[in-house]
Amino acid sequence: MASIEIQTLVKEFTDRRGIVTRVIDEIDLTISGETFVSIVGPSGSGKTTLLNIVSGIEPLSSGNVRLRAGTRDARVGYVFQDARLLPWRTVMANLGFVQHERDGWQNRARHYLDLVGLSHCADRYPAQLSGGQQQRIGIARAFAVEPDVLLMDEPFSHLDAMTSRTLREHLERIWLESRRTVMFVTHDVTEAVQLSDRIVVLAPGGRIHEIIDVDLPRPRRASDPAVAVLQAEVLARFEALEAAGSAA
Amino acid sequence: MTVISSWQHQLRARGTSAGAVTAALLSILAAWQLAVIVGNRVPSVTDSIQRLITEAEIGELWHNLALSMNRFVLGLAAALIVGAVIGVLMGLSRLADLAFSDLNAAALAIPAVIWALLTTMWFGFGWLTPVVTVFLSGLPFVVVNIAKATRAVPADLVLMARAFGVPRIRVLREIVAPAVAGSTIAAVRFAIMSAWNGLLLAEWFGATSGVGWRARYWYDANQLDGFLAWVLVFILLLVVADLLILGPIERYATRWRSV
Repeated sequence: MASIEIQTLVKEFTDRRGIVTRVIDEIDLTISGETFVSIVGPSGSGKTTLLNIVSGIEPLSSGNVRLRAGTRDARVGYVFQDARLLPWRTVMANLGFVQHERDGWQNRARHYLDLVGLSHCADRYPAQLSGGQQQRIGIARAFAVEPDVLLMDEPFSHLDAMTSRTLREHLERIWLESRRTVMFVTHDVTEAVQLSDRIVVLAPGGRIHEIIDVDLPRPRRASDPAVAVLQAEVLARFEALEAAGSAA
Repeated sequence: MTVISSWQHQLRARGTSAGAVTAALLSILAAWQLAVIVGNRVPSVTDSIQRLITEAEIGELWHNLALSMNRFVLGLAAALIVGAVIGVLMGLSRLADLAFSDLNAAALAIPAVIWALLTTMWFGFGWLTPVVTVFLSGLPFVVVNIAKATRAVPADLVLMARAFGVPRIRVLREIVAPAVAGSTIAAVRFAIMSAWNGLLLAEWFGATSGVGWRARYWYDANQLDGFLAWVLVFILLLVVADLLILGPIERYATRWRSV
C-alpha cells in the first residue's frame, strides 16, 4: 500500500535582503492507500510548493516527507499545469521517456493512450495536438509509469470549461480503474468535490485550515445534487477563509 | 493517402531546393560570363576549370588540398572542443559569463585577416600558423552559440524529468542534446565559414603549401586563371560542406519544428 507521509513540514524562502518568508507552516498530513486527496486554498497558500516538495523537485527547509510503497520508495507520476511534453519526440516516445521499467512499456502506454482517447495520436508530435490533447497525453504519461503515488498540479487550469470537464471525467474513470494514491492540487472547488475522497484546505501562510471528507458515491458528475450541495458548502467555507485572509 | 501526400510534399520540397541551387549556379555563371565580356583580364570559366584539371594532373591539387584540410580539421576540432567548454561554462555560470563575454565579443570583432597576420608574425612559416588562425577565427563563434544553446535548455522539461525520476544520462541525451542541437549546428556552421577564411589567409601570408599558398602562387605569377581556379576550389568546398553535410544534419536535428 502506497502512502505520502508529511511530518512538520516547513518551507521558507530568504530574499536578498535576508528577510525570511514562510510559505509552508508545519504541515502534518498522511495520505495512504487508494485515496484521492485534493489540496485547495487561496493564492499564496503554498499548494504548488507543497506538491513540488513532495515530488522532490524543491528542497524543504525542515520536517520530513516520505513516499513509500510497502517497504520500498514509491514510484511517482506527475501531471503538471502544462503538459511538458518533449516537442522533438512523438507522443509514444514521450510516454517512453519517463518509463522506469523498459519491458512492456509500449503496451502500458497504448493502454493509457486508449483510456484518454488518443491512441490514434501515438506517432504525432506535440505541436500537432491541441492544448487539451497535450494535457490528456500528460495524464496518460503519468499513469503509464504505473505510479504508486500520483501528484497533480492544477492540470486543467489552462483549459476551457468544456475540455476540463471532459478531462475530469477521463481522470476519474482512469483513477477508478487504477486506484492510485493521488495528491491533487487545485483552486477549483467543483473539481475537488467531484474527484476527491478528502479535501485539504490550506490557509494563507501555508498551514492546514481544515480537512473535509467527501463521502459520495462514484462516478460523480458536477450536476449531481449531492455534489452540488457539498460544493456550495465547501465554497462557502473557502470564501470565508479568503475573506479572513483579505481582512488580515 | 497520408503517406502518399507526405511523399508528394517531400518531392515537391526537394524539387524546389534543387531548382533553387540550379538557379543560383546559373546566375553565378551568367555573372561570371558577363564579367568576362565587359571586364578586363577576367579569365573564362572554361580557362579556370582547365587550369584546375592541369593542377590535378601534376598533383598540386590533391596535395595542397589534403594539407589544407588537415590543418583545417585540426584547428576546427580544437576550436569546437575549447569553445564548447567555455560556452557551456558561460551558459551555466554568471561569473564565467561576466569573465568571458566581453573578451569573446572583442574576438568576434577581429577579422580573420588580423589573426592570419598575427599568427604569421608569432609562428612564422609552418603548419602552426594556419592551424592557430583556424582555431582563433572559429573559436568566438563556437563560444557565443554554445553559450546561447546552454541557456536555452528548457528548465521545465528538466524538472519534469526529475519529478519522474528519469536518470541524468537520459535527461542529457533526450532533453539537453536535442534542445542545444540547433544552436550547436549553427555554431559549427559559423565556425567553419570564419575558420575557412582564416585558413586561406594564413596560408596566403604564412605557409609554403596549401590552398591559400597555391592561390597566392598564381597571383604572384600574375596568372589570373590559376588564381581563380583555386578560389573556386575554396568556395566549392565551403558550399559543398554547407549544402551537403551541415544543411541535412541541421534539418534532421530540427525536423520536429516543421511538422
